[in-house]
Formats: sequence, structure tokens, C-alpha cells
Amino acid sequence: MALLEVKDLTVEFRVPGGSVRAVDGISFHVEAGEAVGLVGESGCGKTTTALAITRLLPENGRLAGGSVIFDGEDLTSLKRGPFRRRRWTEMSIIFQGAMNALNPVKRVGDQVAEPILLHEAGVTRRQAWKRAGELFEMVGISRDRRKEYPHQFSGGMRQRVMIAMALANRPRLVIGDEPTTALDVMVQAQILELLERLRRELGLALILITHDLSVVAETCDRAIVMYAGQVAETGSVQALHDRPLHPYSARLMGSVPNMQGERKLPLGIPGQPPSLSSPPSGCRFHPRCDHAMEVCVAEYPAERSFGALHRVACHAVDDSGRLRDPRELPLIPSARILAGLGTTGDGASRTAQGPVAAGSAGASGAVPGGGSSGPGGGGAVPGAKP
Amino acid sequence: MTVGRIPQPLSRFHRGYASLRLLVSNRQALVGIVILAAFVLIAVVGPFVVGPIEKPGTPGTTPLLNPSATHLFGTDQAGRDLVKLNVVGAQVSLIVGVVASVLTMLIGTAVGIVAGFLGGRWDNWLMRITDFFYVLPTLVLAVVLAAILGPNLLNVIVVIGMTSWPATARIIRSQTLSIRERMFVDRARAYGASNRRIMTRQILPNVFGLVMANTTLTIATSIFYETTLSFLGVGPHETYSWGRILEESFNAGALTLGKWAWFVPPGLSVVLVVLAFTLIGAGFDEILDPRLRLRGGPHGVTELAMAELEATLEPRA
Amino acid sequence: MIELRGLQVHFPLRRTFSAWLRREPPKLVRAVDGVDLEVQRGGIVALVGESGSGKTTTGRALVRLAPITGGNVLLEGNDVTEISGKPLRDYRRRVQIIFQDPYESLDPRRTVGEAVEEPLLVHGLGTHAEREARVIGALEDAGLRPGSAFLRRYPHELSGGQRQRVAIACAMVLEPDVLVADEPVSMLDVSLRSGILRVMLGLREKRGVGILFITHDLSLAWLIADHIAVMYLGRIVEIGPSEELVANPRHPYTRALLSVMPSPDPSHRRARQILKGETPDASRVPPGCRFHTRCPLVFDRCRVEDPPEVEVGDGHVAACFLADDPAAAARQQAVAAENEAAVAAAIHAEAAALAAAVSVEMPATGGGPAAKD
Repeated sequence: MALLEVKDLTVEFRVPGGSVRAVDGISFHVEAGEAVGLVGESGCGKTTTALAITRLLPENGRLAGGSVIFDGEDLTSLKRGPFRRRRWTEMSIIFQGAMNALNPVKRVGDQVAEPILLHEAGVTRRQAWKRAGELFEMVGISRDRRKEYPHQFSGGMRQRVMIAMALANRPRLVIGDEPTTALDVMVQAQILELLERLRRELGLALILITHDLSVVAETCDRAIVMYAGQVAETGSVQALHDRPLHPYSARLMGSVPNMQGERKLPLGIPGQPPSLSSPPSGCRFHPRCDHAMEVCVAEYPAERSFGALHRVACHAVDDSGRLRDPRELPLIPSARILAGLGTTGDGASRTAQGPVAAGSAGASGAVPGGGSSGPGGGGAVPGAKP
Repeated sequence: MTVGRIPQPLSRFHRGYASLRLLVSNRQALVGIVILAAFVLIAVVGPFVVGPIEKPGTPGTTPLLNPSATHLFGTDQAGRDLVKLNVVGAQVSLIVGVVASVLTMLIGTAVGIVAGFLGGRWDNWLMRITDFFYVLPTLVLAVVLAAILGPNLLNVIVVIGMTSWPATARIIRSQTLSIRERMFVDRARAYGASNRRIMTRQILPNVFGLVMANTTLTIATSIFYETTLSFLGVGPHETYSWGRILEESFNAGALTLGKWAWFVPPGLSVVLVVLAFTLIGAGFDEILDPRLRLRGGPHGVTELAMAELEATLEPRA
Repeated sequence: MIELRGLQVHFPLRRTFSAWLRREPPKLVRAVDGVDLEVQRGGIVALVGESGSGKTTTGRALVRLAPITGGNVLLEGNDVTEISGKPLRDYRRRVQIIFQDPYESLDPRRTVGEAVEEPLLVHGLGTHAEREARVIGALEDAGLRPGSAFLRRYPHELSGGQRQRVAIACAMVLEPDVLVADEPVSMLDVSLRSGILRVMLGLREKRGVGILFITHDLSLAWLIADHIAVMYLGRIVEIGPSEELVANPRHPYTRALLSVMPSPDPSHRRARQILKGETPDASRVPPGCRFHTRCPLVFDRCRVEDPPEVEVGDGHVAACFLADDPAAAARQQAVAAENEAAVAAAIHAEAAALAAAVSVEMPATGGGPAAKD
């Protein structure tokens, strides 16, 4: 049985003048001891998902549906108190901004010891302090540095402290929200290696949230590719690399420079992630997709399985599990442009009722100021700014 | 052509108008504006309506009349009509308040920006001077200066201006310090902008909201100061202000005589005008942020999205 | 085109009160400590390094935003290190910079049009109509089309990628000869980076602008630059043509950096040479070779003697005693593998100890360790 099972998770944020659905019915599972990457551009809802699982959503966010089943128990039905006892002892989270997540006026050792004291009855201060020392050594910091304050630590060291903190109560699942994004390459490598080793030694399950597929490829077994609050594709990192089925995954994969390959500029993905306050109709990726057809504009593609773990939601994938060539497809004009097939007929240019403009009011939804409006939790809610 | 739906450029006038509309739509600011407008109207039009103040001892005047149909607030100890005095007082109070605050703001903003932006020696010296004025007991200084310079309108304004700029300077300086570190200031330097240009074109617009908010609050305090100085007998003597009415009513023992109409109207007026400026100040604080200003609206979004889409389209390699 | 000769940027560190009492000399932060670099017209040179390497300070010194304490900056052979006033303004018209943070580098109270026009106003260029045409042209060159649609927008209405394009337009509107791009894409999503890089390549093509591309990401440097200079603790440790440097790195630091670049291909998991610790403080630059404290191939000579720059190929220079040693790479690989095994063993022991400690101290709370094993 899976350690964590997320079913139809839906999260909404109240914003001035309505609500925004940041996560829209996503489902996935994480096995015990497995490392899973949650990948997508800023604003795709990956951070929101993590916050919803750990019930750390900001004030204006709420779980609008679905369930989070951890070790056979539905966490969404738990009351505040019982849930709080499970958070950190069963699952913990490492945030991106290690610099802000530590209290500047408290000794780091005390901050690591705090969850131990909080969650474990009968542990004395001295025992907790000693455990903090062990945790420090485990994450590669000298035990003597427990007495220091956060400002005496470099970024990488602070992130190690955060990891120590996350492991303080021996959780079975650790969620890392862009744990290495703000760090240098060498320090990033150190931290990723640390996470990987700890995972192996302690049998941890890990959800790694990042926008960088190469980081996922280095550390995870499986990846979940999210787009605009929905799951586009999930599969093993190998399968996603060798044979991405969703055009979005393929494009995302193609955005990463590959130093082993030919030296050419990656394609990237044109346009911006859509605003979630008025998402595009049908498949939400269709305005930026080079495989988009009329059916993509009209209806959301059902998720289909190919192989044990490979699942994808795309109309352009045929029944044998192959992403069809754009040339075989009746593309909509924007897709023709994107696929480099030139324009045909009337609907092709910006001037006419191109499908991008026609899809809906915010069809392409690349609302300025939305999308990649910032790192962290807020970035998951494009258009949420007043 | 969809181009027609791209938002038309907003002129400066339109942007100003949009700000004004936002200010009005802000409820507390609106209340403030209404109160203030009433007093401005009284100050500007009032003197023509009520006529000139009677000279003391004019035949036909009776001192210390109670309110009646001819003298709504009654008369003072010299037989002058209190309505007329209050109307003239509104003029003087508003003039003192506005002019003294403008003076305060000019000095305070200039000192604050120069000290904060140039830093180093400039900052040290300017801030020591500021501190010097800051720690002086303001009211005492005002009384002494007013006594030395003589109690006329101009001197009262200068006294208030001189004693209240340090607070503004410090606020503006701290804001400048944080803006100075923003990247767009570095960028301005990189494209060759001079210090003066950066201070006026980059820093000033960014502290302007604060300056405006602060100005309205300073107007309120200035009016208070003028009232207090007049009440202490060192206010402008050539004309009437609310403070002076209060002073005379106090000296004449209006309170013990039960002559409420003598001291309540000027007192209430001071409170209302101060309140009005405070409300407007708070409103300003909110609206000078462009993020809250008029937006491009829903139109244009699709076009821009498509434009960006096309912008990223290059022949595939 | 533009040349740095022995560039030095040293900041004095403010003394603590006790240090002042003890009359210690103020410490010096040697942010940039002797950098030689040249950017040709139409050339792209990448300056690669970690935080603390001095790469950003080098870029800022080049546009005269950081105080230069030694060495020279030459534009077309003219020394511009000391100029000020009008000549400095003219220099700044020809040498422009883009900053890392697209959220911070634009004034939130200015429209895009005003922001891009401002440099032209500063230099008093053109009539109103000419300026508008240049602003629109610059926006379109930066990939914001149609440019006129963006003129009246405020930065907060734009996405990160669009803001960075505006920043590029701001820099390019003066039609500079040299552009310093300080981590222009590191704050952006991976998927949006290519677009910005493509714009920069386009500018090089169209305007012949020389670009100093500052980044911590070797793969980006490799993609876009003709030459890569790897910086460590204020000094360039290796410089060479991009493909040559990546294929045949001669400095141990470059090799280590290359080995830890994450690859999108999971099957390409190779031994990573993860350096221990972090870059030392620039106020305490180690004696001898500045890299010796972290170098896997360190030997006695490195601790006392600063290695000379060794020319190992055409335009390929490395500052290492072992730059010519063909066996060095293999040795470094072996050392890394050895370390990895040792660290793994140590961590294993730690984890076991912790697991033991935990199970003794907390017998079965909730799901308990018993259920975990």
C-alpha cells in the first residue's frame, strides 16, 4: 500500500472578487521510501499541493475537495489537534527560503530541538539538545555549532539545519519545496547528495518540488508533471526523459540544457503559464501547445495509463502510447505556428478570431502579472494579488 | 483589427483624474474631503457673505451678547460678531496650516533625501542638525521665537515650519535609505544619470506618497500649533484665528460665564479640520501605489498574451 | 573592445569596536583580486562562479558601479578607470548592465515606456517622436511585440520573463557597445530561459554588441558564450573557448563544477566530485593557491606558492600546477570516488546510531519506529 495517496485534491484561494482554484483535482501516490519529483513552472500549484498535504495553506486558502490518505488514514478528516501531532512526526517539510525560516534570535540547536520537545512527551531539554547534536552530525555540521545563531551560517549550512529540523522526529515522508533553488551549484550538489543519502539510510519517502527537471532526474525515481493546477503526466524519470508523452513534459524536458548532447539553445516553452483565475478551456496547455487540436480546446483529456506507472492526460497521444507527430494532426492555427508548420487559412494571425483569442475570454491566459509572479507559496496563485 | 482593443495610452491628466477618483472612492478620504471642502468654502466665500469685522467700540455693538438671530454665536467682549471672527479665523488657520506644512515638507524632504541618498559626510552633518532641532522642546522654542520675531502671521508660519521639519526629514531619510538599495537606482546610475537626477526622478516619486501622507498630517499639527501659540498669546496679532478667539474667550472667562457659543465653534472647527486632514492623509497612503491605480482592464490581455507567444517564436533550430 | 587588466576591488571591512581598541588594521575583503578579461565586439564571454567568487563585483566594476582599487578598465584602448563627469556619462552610454532580479530592477511607479525612455532623456537624445520610436524598437528587439502595447504598462502587470525583457530594452535603448548581463535568467523558470537567451543572441547578431554574461550555471555559459572564464575567490582560475573548456577542463575547480551539473538524463548518473565545505571568506583568502583548501589534488607546493597561468591550448589558460598533467583528471576522479565511499560509511554509522538512540528514547509513539522498520 502506498504511504501517501492524494486523491482528487482541490485547493481554492479566496481573492478579491472571487476564488481561484490553484490545484484542480490532482491525484498521485508516493510509496514508502520512494523519491518523487513534483515538477512544473511557477504557479502550476506544486507548492500549493505541498502546503495542502501538510495543511499549512495560508489564511485565504482552503481544501475544496479530495482526500489525502497517509498510511491508510484520511488526513483531511482529522481535526486540527490530531493532525498537528502527525505533522513533523509523520511528515515534515523543508521550505525554499532557509534564510527566513529560521528565527534569527534563537540558537540553531534550540530550533532543531524544539520539535522534539514539542512532539515527544517525556523528553528532557538535555536529551533533546543531545539529539539535536546527533542530527547536526547527520546533516554534516559539527555538533559544536549548535550554540550559534542563524546569521553565523551560510545559505547551504542553513539549509542543512532545516533538513536536520525536518528529520528531528523521524518522519516517514519529507517534502522538499525547492530546497536547493537559491543555492550555488556546488552547495546544491552537496544538499541533494545529503538528501539522497539520508533517504537511503533512513528509508524516507521524499517529495521533491522543483521547476528544474534535471534536479529531479538526478534524485528521484518518479516524477509528476503539473501544469496549471492539474497533473499532465506522471512516470518514472527514465521514461519521462526517454519518451515523454505529454507535449508539455517534452517541452519542459527540452528546456534543460544538456551538456552531454549537442550544443544548441533549448527550445523552451513559448508564452507564460496561464492565470488560474480564468484558465483556458479544455486542456489548459492548448494555447502554448504545438500539438493542440480543436478537441483540446473543447474538452479536458482523460488520463490514460501506459505501462505500470506511466500516466498521461493528452489528446495527442495515440492508443499505443505514442505522442503523435504534429504533422499528422488537425492542428489549430496557434499550434501550427508553434510547430513551425507556418500558417494557413484565416485564423492564423493575431488579427482574426484565432483559436487562442476565441477559446474563452482568457483563453491564452498569459495574463501579465500572473504566472511566474514570484517564488514560494504566493507564486502558486497567479492573479491573487489585489 | 484587434489592435483597436489595445488600451489607449493614459495621459497624465487621466492618471491624475484616476487617482482623484480613487481618493474619492476611499470612504475615509471622502469624509475628510467633504469636511475640508466645507471649511475651504467658508474661508474663501465666507468673508464676503458676513461682511467685515466691526472695529471695537463701533456704535451699535454690544459686548457679550448671547446667540440670537442677528448674532448666531453672540458677540465677544468688544462687541464683535463671533460668526465673523470664526469665518476670518478659518482663513487664517487654513493658510497657516497649509503654508507652514509646505515649508516643513520642502525642508524635510530635501534634507531627508539628500542625507539618505548621498550618505556619508552629508548624512552625518544633516542628521546632526536635524537631531539638534528634533530634541529642542518645540513649543518652548516656538514661544521664544515668536516672542523674539514678533507675533505676526509670517513669523508664526516660519516658527512652525522651523520646528516641525526634523520629524519629516527623518521619515523621508529612512525611506530613502531603503529605496537607495533598490536595483533600479543602480540601473539609473549605470545609464549615466547624475545624483541630482536620481534624487529627483527615482527617489522623489517613490517617497512622494509618504510626503503627501505626511503633509496632510503636518497640516493638522500646524493648525494645532497655531491655535496653541495664539492661545498662549504669541500668535498672529494683526488678524483673528481660531486660537485667538479661544484665547480671548478664556481670558474673558467665557467658561464660567456659560458663553459656550464663544469657545465651542472655534474649538470644534480645529478638531474637524485636523480630523479631515488626517483622514485624507490616510487615504493618500493607500492610493499612491500604482498597483491600486487604474489598470489596463481585461481588454488587451489576450492580445498581449498572443504578442508574447509570437515574440518567443523564432525559426526552430 | 573592452578589457580588464589586473582589476582589483578591495573593500575595507568595518572594524569591530574591540578590534579598533586593539588597533588592528581594518580587514580587507578582496572581492576581485586581479582579473584579466577581454570582451570583443560581438563576442560573448561568460564569467562563471559561485556566490562569493567576485563575478558580480567584476561586472559592477566594469560599468563603474563598484569602486576599483587597482588595475585598469580599457574601452577600445582608452583607460576609463579614473574618468568622471561627462566622459563617465559617455562611457556609461556605451557600456550597459542588466541585473539579476527582474522584480527589483524596475521602478514600480514607472510605466514600461517611461522606464525605457529614461536613459535617452538622461543623455538628451532625440526628439519626442524619435525617442518613442527607439523605445518601441528596443522593446521589440527584446521580444515584446508589439512594443506600443507595453508602453503604458506597469512592471507589476508583467510576468518575470517580460520584466527581464523590459530590463534588456532599458539597457539596449542606448545602443551600447558592451552589455554586462548579471545572471539575467537565474530568477526565471527553466522553461522561460531560452527565450531570454535567444534575445541576447539576437542582439549580438543584430547590433554586434559584446556581452559579458555572468552566471553560476556552467550549462548556460556553455550554451551561449564563445569563451568561458571560471572564477574562484576573486581570480579567474581557468579561461578558454567554451566547448574546449567544457570538454577538456584543466583546473580541478572547473572539473568539479562540471561534474556536479545536474543532467536531465537519469541514466547519465556519474561520479560527482562534490567539493567539501564552501568558498572561503574573501577577507581571508588562503595563501598560495587560493583553491588549495578545497582542492582534491592539493600538494605541498600549492599551500605556499600561487600557481602561474599555464597556457594549455589556443586561448585556453588555467592557473594550476597540474594544468599540463594529463593524469590529473583521472586522479581527481579517483579521489572523489574514495571520498564518496568514506562519507557514505560515516553517514551510515551516524544514521544507525541515531536510529538506535531514537528507538531507546521514544518507545512506540503513534506509528512508532517499530512500524517503520
